Amino acid sequence: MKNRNWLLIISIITICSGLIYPYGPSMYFLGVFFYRHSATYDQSFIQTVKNISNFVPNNETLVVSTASVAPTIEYFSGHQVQVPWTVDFRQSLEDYMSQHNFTYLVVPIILGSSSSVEKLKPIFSVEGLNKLKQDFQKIEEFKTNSSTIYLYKRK
Amino acid sequence: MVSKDFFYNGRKIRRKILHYLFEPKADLLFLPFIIILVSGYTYYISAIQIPIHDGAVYLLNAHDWLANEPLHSPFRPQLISWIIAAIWSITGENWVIVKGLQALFTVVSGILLYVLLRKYKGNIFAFGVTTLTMLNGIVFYYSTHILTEGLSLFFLVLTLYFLKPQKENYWFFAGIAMGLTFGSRYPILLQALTIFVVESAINRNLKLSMIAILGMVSVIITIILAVYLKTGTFQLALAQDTNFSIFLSPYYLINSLHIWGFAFLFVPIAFLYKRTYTDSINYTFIAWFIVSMIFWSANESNWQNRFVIQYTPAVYFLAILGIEHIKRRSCIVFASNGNAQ
Repeated sequence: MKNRNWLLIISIITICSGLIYPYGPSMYFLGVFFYRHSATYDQSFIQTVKNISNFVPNNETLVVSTASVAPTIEYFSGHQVQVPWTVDFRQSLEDYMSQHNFTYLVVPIILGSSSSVEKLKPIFSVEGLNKLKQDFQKIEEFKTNSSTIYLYKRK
Repeated sequence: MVSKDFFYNGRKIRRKILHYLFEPKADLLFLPFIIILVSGYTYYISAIQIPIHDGAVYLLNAHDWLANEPLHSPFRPQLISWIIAAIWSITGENWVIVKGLQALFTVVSGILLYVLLRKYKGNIFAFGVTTLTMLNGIVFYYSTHILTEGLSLFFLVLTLYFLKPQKENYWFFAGIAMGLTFGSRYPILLQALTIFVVESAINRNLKLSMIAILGMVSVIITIILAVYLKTGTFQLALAQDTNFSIFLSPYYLINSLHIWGFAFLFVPIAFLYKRTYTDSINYTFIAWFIVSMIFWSANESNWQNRFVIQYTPAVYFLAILGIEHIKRRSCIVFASNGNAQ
């Protein structure tokens, strides 16, 4: 019987120690502390996205460089949003937007990353954004606590 | 010389005293636990300033239903968007008002789970399973966002809650709960059906089963019709998420400690004891766990930790069951005699 009691105590300790296991599910509780600088906890992000509408005519579709916040931008800006999934070395961004009659491009740089889509990252990297100047005019630059959002217009 | 009777009676009295002292305290602890849980959710949800990707999609769909516009994402389950739209029809459109919607369903599912397990397994068992489920980091984290995991968990637990009593109106409500499980998150219908099949097999009452099926089918048809009339089509999932293989992925087993913590170590122990298979109450949770694990592991490419949220109660049920067997010195399955080991 003593052995069984020890086994029970060990069982309870095992489960409780899982609470501090660094690779266990309890680490999800720490996100609100470790990722305070991310867009999820950015108080200024929504208002900034709303401000984009002041520079874009109604009924214009926004092309957004990253899929992670595309629905968020669509919901709070009131504009339809498209992510240029088919853009690669075969089709340039300018060709894509011209083909679909899109005029405005939104590039949010969140925590140093301009796109959550791997194949779009080179297009919207620092070098890629410099190359965009040939075909796009930068209208505005918005700063939030977690990001910088560039708004471009196709020339 | 002290007799054996003395020790046996002493043990019996000690057990009764422990039961009297400790069992009711699980009830007393549960209310403060819920209060602390709700406080935790309030803190985490209040810190969130923008909806995550899927949350924004459900908000867009809710807006589209309310404004009678084409749906942004018709392949997404629509129930949560309908609930959001219903709230907005009263309060006006404001995403802040619905930030805590999913957490509410998760907390209520925890309360339901406790009430259900308390009746069949006792206070301490119910408290253990419920607290482990509610305090699982993955369950908690994804319940703080506008998603469908907590919503489907609620309807799944509600299904089980209504299936336990052998009453016709309860089984009809169980059918409705199964249908709403489908509406909240399409693949979770499989788990609801698993629970239903096992409970039907235990009860062996064809009339009750037919009543439940009637409730379920009516809700599912309503949901499909509503989406079809709005969009002209009905899609259960994206094409890339419907590739299944008989070669099961070990993803969820390999990451079991990351997903469920050390408690998962006791799940296989539960299967070693005879008592696990003699108590019919356990059958539902065993089937729930096995079918869910196989289903999500059979997907060829899409493995995510949040997919396990709906069957986490079954995992912790088996874990606590394993510990209970250890405590009770139950017979293991392969014991050579009937005596306790």
